[in-house]
Amino acid sequence: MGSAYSSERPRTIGIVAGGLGGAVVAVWNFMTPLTGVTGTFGAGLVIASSILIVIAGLWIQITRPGGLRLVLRILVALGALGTAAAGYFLHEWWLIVAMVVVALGLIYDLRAGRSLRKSEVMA
Amino acid sequence: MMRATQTATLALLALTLPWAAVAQETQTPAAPSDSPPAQEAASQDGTDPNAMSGMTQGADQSSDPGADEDSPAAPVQTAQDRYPGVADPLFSAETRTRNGTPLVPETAGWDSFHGQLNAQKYSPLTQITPENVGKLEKVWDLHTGDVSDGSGDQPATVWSATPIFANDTLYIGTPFYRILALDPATGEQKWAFDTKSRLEALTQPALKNRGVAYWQAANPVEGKICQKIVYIGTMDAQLFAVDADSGKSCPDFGKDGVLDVNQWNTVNDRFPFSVLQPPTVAGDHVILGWAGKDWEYAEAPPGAVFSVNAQTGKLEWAFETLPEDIRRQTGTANVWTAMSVDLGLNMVYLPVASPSPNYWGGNRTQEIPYATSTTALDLDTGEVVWSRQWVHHDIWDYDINSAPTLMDITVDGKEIPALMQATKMGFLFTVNRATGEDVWPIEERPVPQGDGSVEGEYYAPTQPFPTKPAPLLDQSKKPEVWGIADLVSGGQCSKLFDNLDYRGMYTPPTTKGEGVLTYPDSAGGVQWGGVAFDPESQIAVVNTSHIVQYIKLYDRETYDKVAGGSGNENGYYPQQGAPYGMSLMTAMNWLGMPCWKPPFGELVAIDMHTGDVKWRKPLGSSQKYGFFMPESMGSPTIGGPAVTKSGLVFIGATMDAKARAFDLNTGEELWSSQLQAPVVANPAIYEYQGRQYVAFISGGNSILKPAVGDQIAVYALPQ
Repeated sequence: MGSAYSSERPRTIGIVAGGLGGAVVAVWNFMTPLTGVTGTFGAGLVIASSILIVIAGLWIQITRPGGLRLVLRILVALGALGTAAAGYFLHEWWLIVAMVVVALGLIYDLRAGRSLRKSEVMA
Repeated sequence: MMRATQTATLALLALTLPWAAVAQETQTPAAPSDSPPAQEAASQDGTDPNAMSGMTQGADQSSDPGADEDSPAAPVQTAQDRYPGVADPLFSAETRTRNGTPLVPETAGWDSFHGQLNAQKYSPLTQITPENVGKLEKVWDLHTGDVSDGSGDQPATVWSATPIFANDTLYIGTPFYRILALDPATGEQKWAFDTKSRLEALTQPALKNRGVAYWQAANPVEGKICQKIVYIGTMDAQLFAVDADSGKSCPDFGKDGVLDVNQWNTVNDRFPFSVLQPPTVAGDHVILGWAGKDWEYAEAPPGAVFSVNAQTGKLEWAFETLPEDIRRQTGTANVWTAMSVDLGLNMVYLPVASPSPNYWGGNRTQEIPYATSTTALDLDTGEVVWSRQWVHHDIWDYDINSAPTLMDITVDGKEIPALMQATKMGFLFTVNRATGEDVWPIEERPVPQGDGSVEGEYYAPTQPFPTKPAPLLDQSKKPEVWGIADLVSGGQCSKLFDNLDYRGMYTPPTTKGEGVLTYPDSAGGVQWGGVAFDPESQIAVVNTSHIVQYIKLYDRETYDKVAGGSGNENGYYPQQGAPYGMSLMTAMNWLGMPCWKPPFGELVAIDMHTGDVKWRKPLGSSQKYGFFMPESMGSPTIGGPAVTKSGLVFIGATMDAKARAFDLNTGEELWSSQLQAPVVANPAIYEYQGRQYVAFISGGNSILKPAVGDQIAVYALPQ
């Protein structure tokens, strides 16, 4: 009972890990001299977007299935896409890798959620 | 999802605004375009033949070019046709018989702004090659601390210095007007000299410095100070001479080591003779130009170049660029950039700027042959040997802004002592440096005339066009609008372009509509980095910017109402004393995106045997808010290249603040390194204790973007 939204199930671990990785990469590029984007608005923007992805991932983890979770997943997808595109234009190649991890995490999350619903129907 | 992706991409592109620098100032107020058709405008050129008749050309000249200019019968002329009366002094028999000295250096050195006095920016060193350049590593870097972004009390810094290597030392001038003497291998400081100059933007929008100059005695007196001297100039027109070994002031130079250059500023002295470019040292001559403020005033100090003795600072000769009778009503036509010298011909070559004010010439309708010219002077006397004017009656601020590159070339099997003058217009004029005669024909072609809206103005009916090499950009037609910038701004760019008059590069400024489009603009074409040249392969390399701006003149009453702030090559300028103030704006949309189609800058190589382009590539990447545009779009560039005998081109110059190396033969990018701010001067190449080094100064320039730097970065191969 109640396991459909149990925080014990690490559905969004990929999203959170990718987001955290992205934040670390973005912070490093923002703070370190001679990265080409040191202290720039763009580098700051991807720090913010990466952290928002982490927050969205955690939020998905604790929400019940429904509209909000769907919205959050869409936002994560858009956030990862936009952040990866920004990483491309910022020449932050590791940020793109981190966003690929987020995307894979989102796919895992979706598949895990589908499996869970199927098992609930079966039960 | 797809739509979201497209939206996100467009939004991102909108964020990727590459033109920080040219920060969008208050826009020109919208006004309906009412420019007359070209034919009508041509009939209203306002030419005043009488204005040409009473001209005085200075001591060496007695031309009457007005007769030619009044006659529309000959659409294509040579410059010699245009100036029949000055043919003898400009192209004298004596100069025709002289031969230039061979210009392939036997030893490596980088003891002046452009490496050598010939401004080839060439090093015969071969340790770093196209095969191993990818292994280059930064062996030391240094932050001088002399930097300001302008956010505090001090003006921003613009640091365009090229380090010089001499006396087994790397000497560098900073925008706080200090000299640093550094160990070339480690960057360790040997000594520093502080001029304690006031850090005020007296003549420029920023604190500027282009480095230092070096002299050493041919026969040094043992035990005596200042047998080797480093010179630095200041914004307030002081020239300091410092002993190159100790950093101590040279007591015999000027007054206690300081020469007050402003003592010669006696006409229209509204601002000091800022000595921002290091002097040109040739033999025992120290030759000085100065920078001014010609966008501010109609009346300004008249252009003059001074030669002083290297050890004493005593004036040897002065060369005036303006006819004496108009020196009180106009000014400048100064030399604010580097010069070049042929010691064999005993000539110094001056790149002369435009007269004041920049965009209205009603106060100077007489012919001013030395304005916007390359002028060759006798090194010992300052007398004119020859002169070629590249823009007649310049009302576009097309200053000649880089030292002409001296090169011995073989064209059609004939060896020619040549000179190549790069210009803001994107032209590369090539002449015989002994005589000033064309290497490839330079034609006088008819150009657009004014629309009759500007009081008192005169328009030159023709301008010089080189037939080879081809222009670095296409100035013959209005640049294409960049579709993405137009799309994301809802058609703002195409509307702007539709409202701007452009009938080719020399479309005169107007008071009508949105004004006229200028392409290339005064910050475009080629800047002070000039042309590099490999004397063995006879390949010339030059970087160019493709920037679109627009100019509008305002009558005084309107100007006082609309004028906003002015920046570096962007904004409103009063032209006090003229009937018109003006605005100069970069053509961008409201998001700050350039309205014209990329590439925004390129690196171009020319085979000087034929004058044909060997290769051309977009150079660097534009950047704003940190976002880089694709390198296929290139970057506007300031700064220039250096080449090596081993077939490499080193250059910074781009918005993305990278130092790069290219293959001289193919243009392939082989190496890059990230720096603090754009490198807006040429790199220096030197050898010390058997190791080859390449030094870049990362100083920035607000024309490119706001980022400023105080970094010196030196690269070499791993040991």
